[in-house]
Amino acid sequence: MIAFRDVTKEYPNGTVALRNMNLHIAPREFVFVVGASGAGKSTFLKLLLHEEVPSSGSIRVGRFELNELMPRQIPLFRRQMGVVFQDFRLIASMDVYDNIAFAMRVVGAREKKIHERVEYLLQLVGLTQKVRCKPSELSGGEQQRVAIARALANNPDLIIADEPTGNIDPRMSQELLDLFVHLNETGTTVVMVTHAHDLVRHYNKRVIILENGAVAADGGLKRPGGGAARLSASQGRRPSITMYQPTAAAAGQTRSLPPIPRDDELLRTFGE
Amino acid sequence: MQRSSGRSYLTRMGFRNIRANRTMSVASVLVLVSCLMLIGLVFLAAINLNVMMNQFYARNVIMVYLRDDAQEAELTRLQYQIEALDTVKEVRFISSQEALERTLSSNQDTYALLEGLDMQFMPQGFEVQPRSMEQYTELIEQLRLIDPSVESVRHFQGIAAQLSALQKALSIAGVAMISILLVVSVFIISSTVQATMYSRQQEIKVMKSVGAAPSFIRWPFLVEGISLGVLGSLVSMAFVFVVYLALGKALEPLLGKLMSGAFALVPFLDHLPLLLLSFICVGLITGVGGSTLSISRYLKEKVYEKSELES
Repeated sequence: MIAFRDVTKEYPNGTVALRNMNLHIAPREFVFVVGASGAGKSTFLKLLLHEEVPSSGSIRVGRFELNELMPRQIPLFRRQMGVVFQDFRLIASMDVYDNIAFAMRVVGAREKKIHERVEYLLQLVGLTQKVRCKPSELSGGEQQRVAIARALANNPDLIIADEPTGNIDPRMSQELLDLFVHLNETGTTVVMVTHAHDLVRHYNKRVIILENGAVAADGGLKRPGGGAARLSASQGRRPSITMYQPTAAAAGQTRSLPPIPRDDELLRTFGE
Repeated sequence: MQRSSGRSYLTRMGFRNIRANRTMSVASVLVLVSCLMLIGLVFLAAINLNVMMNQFYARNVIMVYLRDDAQEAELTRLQYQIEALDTVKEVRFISSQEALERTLSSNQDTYALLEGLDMQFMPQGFEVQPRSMEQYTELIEQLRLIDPSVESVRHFQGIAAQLSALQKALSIAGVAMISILLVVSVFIISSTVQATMYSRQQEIKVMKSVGAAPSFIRWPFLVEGISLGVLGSLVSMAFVFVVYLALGKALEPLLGKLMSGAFALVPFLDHLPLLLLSFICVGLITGVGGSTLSISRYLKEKVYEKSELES
């Protein structure tokens, strides 16, 4: 799904944010990316979203080889992924419905289809009562759920989440993570950059630790009961992952989620 | 089908954005209105000044007086001679009777003094209007030497020279003021649009992140730019109309005195089509140009530098 090959990113001011990064994320994987400030997480995301381009090396995301991407293909490239930002990035002038529908209008979906899908997504994130609210009228958690619904609008193969729990309370954080896990189980690749180490420890998923612009460790947590996380130094191979079994309480908090229908028709492009 | 429904949604979005960002929308319209109003009023002032100058010119004729004993045949010959000059626009014979009537009509007190006198004492002559004020001096010389029947030539060369200089100065000042105002308008309007775009960077970022094509992002901004531009031009036209009428009422008596007679401002409706067209053009150019140029900065995508990657 994602491949970074010898990627180095040096900014014009001389700061080297990533050094010879090599990384592989397979389809349907769930990956946490963690690291201290300045470790290269933001640059990693910017490269992934094609907001920045590497100084050397190459990146592949899905069927797109980013080195060969023409400017007119960039919108198409971005439509294959759903992005959730820490600051939600909702459009203030639009209500909840339009914020979600907007992502589908971008790809030229029909209004009937948009209506059905938005209804479904609102149900999924539990915001059917807030459909006509503006983002300013929602709590942080609700705004984040709108952002997630928008990210899911076009049924993406890949979800990228940048600190999605940064501005919400712990209980809501866990609910969101459960939602991401569910999406992952239905076949969506999830890459989540986070500082919330507690949550990372709570789920048995692959963890990539960035340090000084390089992958310092890459592996899975083996802690169904507790104790420190064990990560193997990155050698380009995946350590075995012991699947985490949620506690009864955590399982109780998880909503029963309907499957997300795939709809390739949505990938019709607007104005192309 | 799909595309048109998308466009109509985006058009609605453009109108909705005007309401949603009403502070910046009002600021943009006000800036445009103030610039266009100044331009419109300077334009109308220039037109009125031109009319006033032409009226001055029309009155600034050269009088050619004849000897008292000049015969009918000499008068006819002299008229042909004057009319044949390139520098002459119009020649008119003024008889003694007409000269007296003019004097009396301009001053009622004189009428009582002259009552009962022989009406032939006023000198007869030709009223000559020059083709242009530049040729005024040359024409005076030509008229002095044209025929022995000419006794004297009365002229206002000093005033003519001053009027000519004033008209030139006013034309240059008018063009300069309109040009400066246009440049200032473009600068202020583009700054306002930049500020609007800056405040909506986040929105553009979100649109890009969900994969919106540049045309999709640009369209609502274009609708906004066009709407605000047209609205600004119509509002400024209404303001110019009101201010022009009010100024006309206040200034017409003063201008009448200055012109030694009644003076009415040029009717607004005479220049309405030209002004309206110009205002809408300026509104559209600034609206469309401002939004397109400003947004393109935010739509730029980073591209791979092949040479860097190969090195």
